[in-house]
Amino acid sequence: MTSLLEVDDLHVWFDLARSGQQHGGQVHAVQGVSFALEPGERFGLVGESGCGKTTTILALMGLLPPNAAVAGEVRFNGTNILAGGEDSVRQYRWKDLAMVFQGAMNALNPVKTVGWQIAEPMAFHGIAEGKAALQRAGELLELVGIPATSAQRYPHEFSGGMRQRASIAMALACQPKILLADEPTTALDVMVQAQILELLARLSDDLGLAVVLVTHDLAVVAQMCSRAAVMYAGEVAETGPMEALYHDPQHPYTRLLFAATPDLFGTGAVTSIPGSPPRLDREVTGCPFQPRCDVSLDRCATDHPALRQLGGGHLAACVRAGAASADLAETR
Amino acid sequence: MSDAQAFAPDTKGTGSSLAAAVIPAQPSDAAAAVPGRSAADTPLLEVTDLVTQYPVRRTLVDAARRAPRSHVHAVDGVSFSLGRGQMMALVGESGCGKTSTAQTILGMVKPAGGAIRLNGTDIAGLPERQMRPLRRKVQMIYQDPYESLDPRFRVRQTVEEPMLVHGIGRSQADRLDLIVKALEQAGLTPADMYLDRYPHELSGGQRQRVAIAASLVLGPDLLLADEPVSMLDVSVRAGVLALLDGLRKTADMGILMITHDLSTAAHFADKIAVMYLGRIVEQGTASEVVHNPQHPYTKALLSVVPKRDPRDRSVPQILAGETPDPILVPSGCRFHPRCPVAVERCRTDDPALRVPAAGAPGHLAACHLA
Repeated sequence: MTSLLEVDDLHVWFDLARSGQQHGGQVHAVQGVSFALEPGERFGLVGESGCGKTTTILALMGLLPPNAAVAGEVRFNGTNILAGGEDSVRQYRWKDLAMVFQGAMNALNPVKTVGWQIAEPMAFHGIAEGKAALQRAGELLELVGIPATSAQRYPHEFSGGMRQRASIAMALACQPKILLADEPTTALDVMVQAQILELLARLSDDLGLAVVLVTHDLAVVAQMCSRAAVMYAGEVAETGPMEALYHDPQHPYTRLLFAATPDLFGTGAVTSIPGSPPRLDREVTGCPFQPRCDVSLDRCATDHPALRQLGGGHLAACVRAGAASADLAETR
Repeated sequence: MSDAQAFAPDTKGTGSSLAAAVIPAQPSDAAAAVPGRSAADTPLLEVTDLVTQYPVRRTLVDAARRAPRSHVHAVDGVSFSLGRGQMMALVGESGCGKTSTAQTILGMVKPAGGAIRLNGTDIAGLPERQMRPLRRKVQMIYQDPYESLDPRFRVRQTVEEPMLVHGIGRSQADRLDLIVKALEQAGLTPADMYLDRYPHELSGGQRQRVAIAASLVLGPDLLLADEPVSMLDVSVRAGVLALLDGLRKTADMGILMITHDLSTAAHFADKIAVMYLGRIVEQGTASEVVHNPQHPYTKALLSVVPKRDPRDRSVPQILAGETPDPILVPSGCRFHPRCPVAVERCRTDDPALRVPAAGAPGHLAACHLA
């Protein structure tokens, strides 16, 4: 059975020499990421900055800069959309996969009305033109909770939350099946964040839209998504149902990341993770998390752990994964 | 002190040199020496009825009509006190006046009214000359360590600069000792490893620690931290917060932390004050405010904080709309247009901050129904 979207062993390299850097070399930004997505599902992609979250979803959209090289397959309804390069991915971009960029709310054109900006891509993709497109822009604004009459207003007349809603409406212009949202609530206040998250949840429930939520905030993913992948150093460290990730984390990074996230009513200490992620412009030997791990073994310095099945769609890339939690606590 | 206020308005003129002659150089010491009032019972920082306004530019038509000048009521009657060794969190959405409160305490903005007592001395509207020695005692840590550090300064220069401004340390060697001490106090050990680095060679957490070290060299009594970790990676946030938490205890400082993150405030602060449209609507010990909130705004804010546990999906109580315009503050209770439980009285009567019926001592809320 094929899923709506299957990402299979995705790799992305950036060639630094071609981007004008003095030292050259290559950055292996995404190192074999795989996940699958069902219609209407909300999936979280979590990790620290530089772990490859954004690069992964830009690769799905075929929007990486020219100095990037991509390997692996991205199958939409079973068809590899990256097979023919730009020519093949263009047929899917916006129509099947759409994206809300990080900071999209601040990237609206200040001299065009919001309605015009939502209508513009419709003409480009042959969905609607002229009056019909503007009419549909109004409907899309209604869908995201903005009165249709606001289509004639300019971005500066909108508040931050309304601009973010408008950029979601823009991504929905061509009725995509999948919405990739890159840090959609990062610059917003808690109350506005709650409003936007409620909107995304409603869209996925009502329209059957699959949502990939990219964020550094584990608590947001815990509340929004049924499944998630925790990324570290370009790889998926652990993936599975959200419940398993929180209540039964099998990768030390997942456990430490939750421990570093303060919880309103949590009583345990909030602790930081010492050290910083490895540089990705050189080959990483052993487990990439080993230098920061609090339960590492001797062989972690040399053996690169692969993602292992733990049952129920729960996978972790740790040599200790699958050992009973009690054993873990003892050896710590 | 009243003399100082009398000619405060012409600080930029010759008045400031005159003021320096009248007022003792170290007013804080003088206040502490008042018999019968020991330093112990004077709070480090006492803010009373603080008002900060920014004038709004009038249009030509309004000016011709002589329409009254309107103001942004950024801070509109804020009172609180902070003791040594305490950490207080000022929580609220953007535009609620958190940062304006800090900027006014720091003397970057002149208050339109109220008093700011630092160690018992009113520093509100103090002329620049007298403010300067006191400024050493109040230091600010900014949100973005990628912007607040000069990219062309090595760490040692960044930390040395405030000492040069304030004339601290007799020789380069003296100052180097202080730099090393401050860096190590900020958790950058061994300091030698960091002295000659540039900001681009440091991680976000290390940069923020350099910024903290640059304020510590001045030996401040009060640290204002404006969203000190919101630009940092989740994995290093706790470390920087634990550093601030340790500093207030070991260095006996007061810390006023501005944050929009209630979870962080709940974990690290002793006291929480929730601001809405320029006012404190609720304040109390962190656990009282989080576990026994009395103001409907606090309740709503707490309900939308995402929890880590996916099984704990509470129904968030989402308020419609956004914070109103601080130029046209609503009548009565300023929260009533968005309040889910507002009654008729809330439209007309502005509730005072008082001890709520179900509150512990020290807990204050500004709600008729509390």
